[in-house]
Amino acid sequence: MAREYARLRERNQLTLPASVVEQMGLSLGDIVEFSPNGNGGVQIHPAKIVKVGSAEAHEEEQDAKKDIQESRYTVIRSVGEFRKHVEKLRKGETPSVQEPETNHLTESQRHDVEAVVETTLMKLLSNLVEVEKSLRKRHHEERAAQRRKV
Amino acid sequence: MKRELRSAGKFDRKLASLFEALEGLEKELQSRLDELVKGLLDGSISKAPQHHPTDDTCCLPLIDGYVVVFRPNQSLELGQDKAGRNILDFSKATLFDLLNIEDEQE
Repeated sequence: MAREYARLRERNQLTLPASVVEQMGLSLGDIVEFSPNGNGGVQIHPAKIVKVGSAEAHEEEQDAKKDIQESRYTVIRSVGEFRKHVEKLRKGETPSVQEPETNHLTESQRHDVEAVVETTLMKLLSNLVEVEKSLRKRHHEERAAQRRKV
Repeated sequence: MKRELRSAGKFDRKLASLFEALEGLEKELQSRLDELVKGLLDGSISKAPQHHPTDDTCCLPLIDGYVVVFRPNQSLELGQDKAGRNILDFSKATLFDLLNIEDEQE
C-alpha cells in the first residue's frame, strides 16, 4: 500500500483512504482501535469482537492470560472501582495498573522471594548442623570426664 | 470472603470497543457489567458454564449475544447443563481474571 494522506475536519473527523479501508478489511459500522506506536504516532487496528470458539478467540484468551501473567491488569474490588475503570477506558485513558499484592507476585518477584527463602533455609540448616556438632562434642567431653572420675 | 477481579489489558480494549459498537445501549451494557462484577465479588454468582471443555475458563452472557470470558482461581465441576456444557462451581474462588468479550451468535 502506498503512503496516503487525509485532512482533519471539524470535530476531529477524518476520512480513511479507500485503500486503507480495503487493506484493513473494514466495512460500515466496524470499530477501529488507535494505539500509540511508541514513536509519538499511533497505529490503527480493526477492533472486532471475535466469535466464541474461533482460532482468534483462543489467541486473544492466551494474550489476556499473558497480560495477567506480566502484570498488565487492573485490580477491581468493588462495583464503584469498576465504574471508574470503565469511565477511564471510554475516555481513552490508560487504566492505572496497580502494583501486584504479595499474594499476586510477578514471575521475577516470585523468583526473588524463592531465592531469599532458599538462602535463609540453607543458613538455618548449616546452623543446625553446627549446633549438633557442638552438642556431640560437649556430650563426648562430659562422658570422658565422667570416665576419668570413675 | 474477600474477592477481587483482575481486568486484563486485552479485556479492557475489548470492553472499550464494545461500548463503541453498542452505541445507544451504553446504559444497559454498564448495568449488566455492574451486575456481573457485583455477583462475582459478593459470591452471588457462583456457577457458570465452562468456556472450553479443556480449560479453566468460564463464560457468562453479557448483552446481545456477547459473553464475558473469565478465569476463577478455584473451581469444581458440578455436572452438565441441558446443552451438554460442563458447569463449574467457583463459590470458593477469591480471584477472577476478566479475559475477553466474545460473540456467541451464529
